[in-house]
Amino acid sequence: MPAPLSPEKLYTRCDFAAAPFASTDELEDLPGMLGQARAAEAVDFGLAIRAEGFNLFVMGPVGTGKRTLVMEMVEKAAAASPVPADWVYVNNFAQPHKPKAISLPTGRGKALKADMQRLIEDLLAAIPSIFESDEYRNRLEEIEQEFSERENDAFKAFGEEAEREGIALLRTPSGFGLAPERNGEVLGPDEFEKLPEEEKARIRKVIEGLHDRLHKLIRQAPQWLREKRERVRELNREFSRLAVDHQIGELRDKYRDLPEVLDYLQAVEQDLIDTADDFRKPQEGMPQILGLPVGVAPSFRRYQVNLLVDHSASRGAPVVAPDHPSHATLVGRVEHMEHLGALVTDFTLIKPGALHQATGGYLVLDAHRLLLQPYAWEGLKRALRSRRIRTDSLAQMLSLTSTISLEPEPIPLEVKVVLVGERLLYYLLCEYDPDFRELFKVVADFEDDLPRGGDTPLLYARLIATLARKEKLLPFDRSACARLVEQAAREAGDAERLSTHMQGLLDLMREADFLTRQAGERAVSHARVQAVVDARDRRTGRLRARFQDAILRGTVHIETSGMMTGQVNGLAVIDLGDSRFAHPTRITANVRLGEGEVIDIQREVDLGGAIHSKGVLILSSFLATRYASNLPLSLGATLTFEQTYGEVEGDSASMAELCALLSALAGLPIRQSLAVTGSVDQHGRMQAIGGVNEKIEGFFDICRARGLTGEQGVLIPQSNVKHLMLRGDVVEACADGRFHVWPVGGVDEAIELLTGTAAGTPDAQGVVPEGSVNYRVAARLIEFSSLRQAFAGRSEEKPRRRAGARKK
Amino acid sequence: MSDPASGIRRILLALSGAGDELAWIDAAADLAAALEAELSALFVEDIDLLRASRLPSMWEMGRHSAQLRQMQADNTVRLLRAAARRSEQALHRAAEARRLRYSFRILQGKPLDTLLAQAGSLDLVLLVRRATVVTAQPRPLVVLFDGSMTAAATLAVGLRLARTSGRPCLVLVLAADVETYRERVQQAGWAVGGGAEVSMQRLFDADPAALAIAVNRLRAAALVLPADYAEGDLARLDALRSRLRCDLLLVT
Repeated sequence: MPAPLSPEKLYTRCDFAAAPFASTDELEDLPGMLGQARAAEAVDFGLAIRAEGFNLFVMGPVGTGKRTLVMEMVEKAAAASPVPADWVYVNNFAQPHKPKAISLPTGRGKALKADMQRLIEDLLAAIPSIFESDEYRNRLEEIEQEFSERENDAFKAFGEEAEREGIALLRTPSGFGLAPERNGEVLGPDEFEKLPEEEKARIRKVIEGLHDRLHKLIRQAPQWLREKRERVRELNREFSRLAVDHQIGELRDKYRDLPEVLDYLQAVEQDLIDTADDFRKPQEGMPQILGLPVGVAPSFRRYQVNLLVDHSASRGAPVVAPDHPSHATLVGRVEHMEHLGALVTDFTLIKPGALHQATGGYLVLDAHRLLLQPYAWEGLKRALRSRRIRTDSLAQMLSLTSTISLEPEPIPLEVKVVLVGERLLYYLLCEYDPDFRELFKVVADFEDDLPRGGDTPLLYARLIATLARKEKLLPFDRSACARLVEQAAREAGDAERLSTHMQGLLDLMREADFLTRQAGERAVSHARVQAVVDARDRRTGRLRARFQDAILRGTVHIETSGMMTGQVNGLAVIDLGDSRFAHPTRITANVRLGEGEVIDIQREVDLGGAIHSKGVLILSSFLATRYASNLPLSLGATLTFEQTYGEVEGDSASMAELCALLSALAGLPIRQSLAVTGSVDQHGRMQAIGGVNEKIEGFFDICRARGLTGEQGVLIPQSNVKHLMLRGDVVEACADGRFHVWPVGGVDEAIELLTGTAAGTPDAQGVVPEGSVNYRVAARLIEFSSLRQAFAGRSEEKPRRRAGARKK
Repeated sequence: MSDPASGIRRILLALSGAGDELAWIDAAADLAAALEAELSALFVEDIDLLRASRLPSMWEMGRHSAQLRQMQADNTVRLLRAAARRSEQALHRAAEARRLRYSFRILQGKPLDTLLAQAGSLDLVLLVRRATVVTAQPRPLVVLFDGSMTAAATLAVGLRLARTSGRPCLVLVLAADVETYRERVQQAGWAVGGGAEVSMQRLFDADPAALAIAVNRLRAAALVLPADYAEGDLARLDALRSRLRCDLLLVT
């Protein structure tokens, strides 16, 4: 029978007694991250390699500090990289709905924007002044005079010709009329009637002829007007060119090394010349009704430069880490503005996304947040695949809106994307997204914990020192550091490893710092750290207290003394939010004659998980193999977790279930002062389980509440001993012999401890001692088998007799 | 109430239902408001047109469509009345907006003759060529100072108009010789009074062609002319008007 574990095995202390520091003030900062060398190497590699698709997925549990490390490494890499080019969007004068993207050397985007702004301001002054010049006015008036005279002369000549024929040209409210006249007076009807018929006929004929000419004259007027407008337009172009040529010429010199800018300036020049009239309108004012301007003021937005990406103030490559990685914040968006009740847009309303800002540098994204945003992941993949940023409106893509929008020219993308997320996301993406592996070829896997041996505790103390200084916390003395190391082991659930959960460590340090300051002390001590741990335990203990209360008040039946056949205390872990604790649960077994089936009631009612069912099947297999290898297993058994109303999952109770079954078969009662945790294999060996510390503490709490007797304790797998980092009160009780933890290697050891009866080791002939547990189990099974055979014989006999009777 | 500085009590505007007359009404109303004068619109039904419309087989050709349609007396009268009604409504609106005293009368006759026949002493006769356009650099107001009886009043009106519209005032002093020029400059100076800034230029000849060339060269917004210029010679006034590229204001 195994001996209980000594207190040293229950809690591995960190001993800094001989450590070369009194407090963290004396320790140097720890460079990099403790225990993440593999991940750091992967990140280094991923950031350095520039090949296509070598983006990074940094994975690991939340709070390990992976994002902090990644950001540090990315920023370091970015600082050593060149500053990328600026990007601007400018108007596409040929196709305004397709704005052009232009790349400029760093800082020159801003300069171009300012230059264009200045150009327009200058032209707003220069063009009107040119059009106000005497030269222009004279030329314009010359044209106006020419056409005015042409029209006047034509009508005057027509009027004179008509007059020569004795016909007056009259202006009517809507046109012209021709009437006979004499001595400058139009003839009245009476006078006209008195004219000889020949004269009347002549007049009618003359008027008819004049009508034809007047018709041609009137029809010619619009043509003259068009001609005049064209002449004025040409004149305007000529004078506009004078102003524009000079101004644009300066810009052309300045940007002569940038062909794309030169092309753009040429388009601007042509447009300015064609629309120079707009520059005069602001000077002439807007038409008004009741003091309010009416009509559309000429807009010069089309000459603006939309400075999309400006690196004029950047040092090194950009590092962009958007907090809200939606589709729009990644690929940019085209905004709209209200104009006369309609939504309109232009290239100046194109807003950059994180990809624009990050191009030439690094984009760090939280994978979980990214995947939560509709179409954001698709947008990112599309950009990475095509290596171009296409600013599409999501609403347009989904046909949710019919507002006029733009198709901005895509911008080439060269960026290193770093996704930071949990392992599950990585594995899911690998499994379900065929593009993922192509686009994220480098994975950096952050460790959950690190080995505690060697100089790790000291390095951990340096980490504490680094965090304390960074967060401006009080120094942690040697004892506090030791307690933090021990707590890291407890968090890791392993006495031989330390958790890498930096966030948890930092929170613990902050709380300890707070308590220390409240107490007016200068350094954080072991006691303060322990106080934080205890306080947290209390704060999150409501649910645990309710469970314990239910047991202690007898609502949930848990025996911690006495003996019961076919009943054993198992241990179940509850993990909800900040609450992680265990409580005992009663496992019972019943046996009867049957056909070799072990019924798991949990599974029958769909309250048992797959792993739990597997455990039951394994113990069934063990039972049949060990005790009924050469006879039919004629057992009918049922197993259940009493008073559980939710799903039971995991196989950590399979040893307890097996022991309950053996107890029922052997008819030997089990000590209720003990609890069992551990899974069993087909050979009856005890296997490691999770949450061993919480399980022991859970049973301890119930026993202590009822009074520790020295008989109570927990059986755990031997392979879990290295995970023990038990609470101080548990360790203390064990040291005093008031509570025990037994390491168990297999079912025989467990059943011996539970029943107080020898398991019964087979001798050379394979015979187990009479009265042992195994003997009694085997005997019971043989009994079941005989009974079954007897029943089978009788049931076969009866039909035969009935058949004989029929023959009679 | 008439403005003592300008002495103008009434502004006369002739309308006949042809052209862009509604715009003229606004221009005239602005002027009347500036001079605090009454605006008097005369809608002159062209007697020649009325007579012609009674002729058999009289045709009218549309100004823009160039389509012929038979003109009848009834139609013509109706068209003229409709035009008169529109003008009166426009006048009413313009006057109300500016709180002007105004009158509207319909007369028959030849437009220019009728208009001038209705002009009394200290009236300003407005012969609008086109709606005034506000430009960045205001065009000047040109006044003809010819030494006639109404020259001083004309200059006072011109100055007043120039001040209210923020335009420079330019005086063309008609003088065939230097002596006359000096004399008239002095007279003009008295008429202008102290403090006012005007430019003066000599004009050798005031026949319609020469005067129109001078005024057009100055790119005037309007020419303010003493009514004596057209005394008994409407053809002279008509000739000037057809050559000018600006509005014409007659001070009677």
